[in-house]
Amino acid sequence: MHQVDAVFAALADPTRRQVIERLAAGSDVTATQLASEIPITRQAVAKHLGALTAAHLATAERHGRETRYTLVPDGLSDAAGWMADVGLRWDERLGALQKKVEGRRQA
Amino acid sequence: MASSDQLTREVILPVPPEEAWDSLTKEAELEAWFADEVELDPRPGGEATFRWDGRGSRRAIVEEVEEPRRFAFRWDELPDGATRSEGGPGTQVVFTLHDHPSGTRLVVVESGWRAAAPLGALKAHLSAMALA
Repeated sequence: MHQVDAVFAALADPTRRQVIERLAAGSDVTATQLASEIPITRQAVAKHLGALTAAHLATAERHGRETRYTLVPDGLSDAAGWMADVGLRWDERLGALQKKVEGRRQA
Repeated sequence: MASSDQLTREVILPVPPEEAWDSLTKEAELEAWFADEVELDPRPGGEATFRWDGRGSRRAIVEEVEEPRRFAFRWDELPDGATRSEGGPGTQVVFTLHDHPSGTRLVVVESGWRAAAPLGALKAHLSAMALA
């Protein structure tokens, strides 16, 4: 699966979107901190962080006894690139539509 | 970096909305501009399959049909082998047709991009850091 597909698959879950938004908005964070900010269990937080790490949206680093999670911006940049590509596709399609309709009128 | 939840594009077509409508909802007409092969059941809940030569295919489900003013569908979740560049995973596409002195102003909005909120947060965070 293309890397950006993994990003969108990871973002399909609304709780994971919340977690990524939290990582994107600030500095690194532990699973315990997240569990105190988002109304889900610490186990659920750990599961979501695992999925986000697997999709290369976040990295985990041990600092002594705690693990801190940081956003990896590249995945989000790829997602932004995908949106931009689709924007260009709309430009192409609508240009073709306009040409087709104008061509038929002159026929 | 995009942070909006929506892509918006528009085009002016030199025909009235009733005629422009056919370009959005008839298979043979869609094949002239949207995809190389189209199967479409243009009713709410109807299925659509779009194929592009050499690029794979995507499916969609029709959501809204208000002839000749509004036509909306939702893209599939992007199964393996599907072509990415044609649309988002699970995004909604809404066409609206407006009267225009030259004929029709066709507006398309593709929304529900799941990366949008995190991208917005990241952009705000980076801006704040740049000002620090």
